[in-house]
Amino acid sequence: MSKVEIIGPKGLLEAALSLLKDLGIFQIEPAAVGFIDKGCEGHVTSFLPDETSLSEVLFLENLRTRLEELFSYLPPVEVRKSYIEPLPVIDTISKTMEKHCAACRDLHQRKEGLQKEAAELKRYLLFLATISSLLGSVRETPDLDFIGLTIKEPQMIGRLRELISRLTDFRFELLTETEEDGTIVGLITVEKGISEKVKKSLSDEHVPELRFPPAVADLTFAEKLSYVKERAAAVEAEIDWITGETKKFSTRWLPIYKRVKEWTDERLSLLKATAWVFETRMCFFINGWMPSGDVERLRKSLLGAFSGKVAIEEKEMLEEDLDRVPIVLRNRGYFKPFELLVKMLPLPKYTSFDPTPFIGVFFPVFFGMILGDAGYGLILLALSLTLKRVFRKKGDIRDGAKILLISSLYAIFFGILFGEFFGELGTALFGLEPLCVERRHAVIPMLYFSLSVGVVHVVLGLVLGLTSAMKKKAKKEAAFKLLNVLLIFCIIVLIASFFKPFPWLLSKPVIIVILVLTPLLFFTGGLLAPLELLKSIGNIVSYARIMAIGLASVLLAFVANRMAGMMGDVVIGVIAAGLLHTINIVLGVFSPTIHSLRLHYVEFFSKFVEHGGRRFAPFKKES
Amino acid sequence: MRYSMRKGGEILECGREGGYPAEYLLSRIRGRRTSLITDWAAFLSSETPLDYLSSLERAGAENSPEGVWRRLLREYRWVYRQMEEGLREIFRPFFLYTELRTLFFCLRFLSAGEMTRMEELLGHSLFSKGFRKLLLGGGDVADTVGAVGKVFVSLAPGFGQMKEIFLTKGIRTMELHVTNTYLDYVRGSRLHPVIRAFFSRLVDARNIMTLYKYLRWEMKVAPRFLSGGSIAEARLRDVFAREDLFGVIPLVRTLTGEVIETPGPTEVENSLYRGMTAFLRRAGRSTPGPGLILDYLWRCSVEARNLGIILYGQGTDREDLKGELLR
Amino acid sequence: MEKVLVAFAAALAIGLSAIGTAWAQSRIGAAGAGTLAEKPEMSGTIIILLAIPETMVILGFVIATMILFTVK
Repeated sequence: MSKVEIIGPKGLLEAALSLLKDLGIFQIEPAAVGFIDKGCEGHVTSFLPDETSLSEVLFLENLRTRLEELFSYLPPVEVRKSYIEPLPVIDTISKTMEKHCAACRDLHQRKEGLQKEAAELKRYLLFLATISSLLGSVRETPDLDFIGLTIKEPQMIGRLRELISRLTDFRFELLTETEEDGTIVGLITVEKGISEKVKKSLSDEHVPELRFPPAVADLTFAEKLSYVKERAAAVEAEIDWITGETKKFSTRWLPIYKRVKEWTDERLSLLKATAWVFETRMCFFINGWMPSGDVERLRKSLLGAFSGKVAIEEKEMLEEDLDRVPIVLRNRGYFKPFELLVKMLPLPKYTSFDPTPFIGVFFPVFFGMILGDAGYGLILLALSLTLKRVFRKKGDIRDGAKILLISSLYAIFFGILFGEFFGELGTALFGLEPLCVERRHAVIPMLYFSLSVGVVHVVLGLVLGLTSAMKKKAKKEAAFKLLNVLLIFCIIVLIASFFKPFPWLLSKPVIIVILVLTPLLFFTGGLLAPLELLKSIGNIVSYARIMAIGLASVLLAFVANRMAGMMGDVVIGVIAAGLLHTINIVLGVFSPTIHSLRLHYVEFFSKFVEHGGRRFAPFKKES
Repeated sequence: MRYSMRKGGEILECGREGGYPAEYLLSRIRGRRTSLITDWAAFLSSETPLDYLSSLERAGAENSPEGVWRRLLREYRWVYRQMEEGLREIFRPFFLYTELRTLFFCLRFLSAGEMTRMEELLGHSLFSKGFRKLLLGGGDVADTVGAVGKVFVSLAPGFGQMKEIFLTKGIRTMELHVTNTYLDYVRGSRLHPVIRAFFSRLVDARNIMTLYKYLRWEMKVAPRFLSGGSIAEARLRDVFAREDLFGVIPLVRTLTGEVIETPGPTEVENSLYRGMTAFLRRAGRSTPGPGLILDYLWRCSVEARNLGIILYGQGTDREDLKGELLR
Repeated sequence: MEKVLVAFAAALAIGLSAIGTAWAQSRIGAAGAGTLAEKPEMSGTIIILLAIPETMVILGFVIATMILFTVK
């Protein structure tokens, strides 16, 4: 990452910003600290836009709000891309849009009204259809009144009946029918004189009365039915017409307006970026960060565009800058996909290491050691290839598939070493024999192997921590890490001396060394230093999980095969074994991933990665 | 250990789903706590505090006093619904206490005939379906008060007089009676230590405020103090007998550890509030489970109170407002 | 008899540590889910926290194998 300053005459500011935005490799730093030389602060101030730019911002913001309103009225249709250049015609567009917006708003409101009416009509229609079946038993006479009801809960009916009988002295009829959606439609027939009283008590009971629109109030039921049907059809047709119109409008105008919106957004973000710029009387200053490899490219582009009027200068990175330098993970080729695993944690600090290459080397190895089965490996290989093909465009899934691909290759490799192909199926089918150990029986050797892997990994982590401490010139921390490494070696030698091939003789000098080194720990790491050492040793033991999880996976595969043998029936046996193997494969993706990730995140990274970096966010076009 | 509030269960909803493990709720609360407004001075000095409020990235920030209150109710209900049964039981006395306010609002809406507002308010409350139906049942106010009293009487017999007091002495006296009876009842039931401490401090604060008002208005009739606080009634009565307004200051100090200079109404009240805030903050640290939740609920209510003050006091001088706000 | 005791000792070593891990993980998991609901960007940290108590059961497992395979 380089600390960069771009200087030029004020008149070229917008052009320069636009160029930076197109390139998308430069992060503007709005704070002046560390960029403006001491003593010059008086001459350099934050950039203040002139009146024309301010009014442009206002105009564009207004335009954008109206565009958003217009878009909210239009249906989402696929449209072609427009390439018009809005700047020369922006005034015309703004005026036309005003009209279009009003027209669309009208259409939209009309459609909403119609939709509401359609919903109501549908309810009436349902009601009428239900009632017409009930009507057979009721004669329609002028001195009778009909009250339509919708009832939500069935237990209400009894209560209603009781209520109305009290009110009407049993001179009423209540017919009910259950509709398709479960609501109950009721029809009360009462004498005209008391109908008002009934209606009022109904509203007190919160039973909604179905009121018909005034236009149909005086019609008979049959007439009502046909009227409602006609009206519903008319409303439906009108809604269709409006939908068609807006669609036509969209296909014609939406591409242009979308382009205008894009352009407006671009323009606004450019104008707003000027707030992060500094100025003197004649010049502008843009301060910021960019990847060191891109500086030359930017220099050339600036030279080409402004023929030397806008200069770029790389500044010296100061001590206090280290906390503010943005971080970008830059790994190529093989290591690139592994950034996915690093990105799950907060970014490392600028002074720290990028752990991606290490995770790229060790993660697949650990995965392979844990899974260690050629058959499962082959299946995962096929799976990863499919995923890679299907999600060619989806960055994270594709990266994940790549990681899985590499990991499955290691699984196959270790599978051949351990002689495992769907457990011991390989041995039975084509005489696959373990090349080094058979995990199912060699538990203790595998344990020692796992612990040795742990020693290597943790010590590597400590060494990396040592180097980064030296880079930072933190001598105490460096000495502490070094002591830790030495003590770990001493302890290993001490433990090893308990076993046969090593003589007991060795243990005495080692104990003396440990006793000498321990007090030094306190000097370099403080009171809690021994705890830190103990943590490192715990971390190493934690690598035993490579053996433990692996053993579990082997045994599950073994059980699957045994089950198949015990079933007695070939078909059932194969199905049972297949199911168990499937479970084991699913587990075989998750648990090795989680455990080797954990070995990295907890055991390895804690030795040298310092988190808390700021993400590199270049000024660029929104995609 | 079970904390008894079984009977109160039928007034508050019991939640169909069993809630989530306590740890889940605690870490959600820790997360949500960060979005509460803490720096009120900065908030007020920002150019347009209200625009700032609506720009806050949180769901349902509303720009009216009623909106603020609704938001508080929603947050309380959210916390209650996330609780597992054990926690719910611990907190039921607290929630029922806060819902008393909703009940009073409802009764007032009812007597003003504003059914829709009442329905809306109940939509955010924690009352059970049955209790809501009872309130919405559409009788007149006195009948509803009577019905509510009948439900509450299972907690304490004192609630049985609700209707009588309402009819003879009016709604305000009835509300006071309900609150006092409730606090009396809570004192007698088995509570989690944190909730017990909360109610005890609440009683203290209420007693001090009562004493203060009686002294300030130079009333001759001795006030009735609630029992169950940490400050002895005798001490309160002694101050009242001496008619010494400044005698409130040491009382406030005993409770909050704060020394106020003049016994003005805002000073006393705010000091008591601050004392509670500080106490709950300590409780939140020392008893990470219920203490932390109670602390959060209290902080939410303080935020709502402050926002309410700001919203009501639009156009008032910022400095004056600052004095009113709680920290 | 001795064999039974050895087996029992191994079972205790792994069983107790597994219970410990399970208990710790259940609580961390619940808290992690809560944190994730409020701050989705914390996922990496939560995975780490969730994985930390697993060391217990691994240690228990190591002890159990040691007991089974080295004590004769």
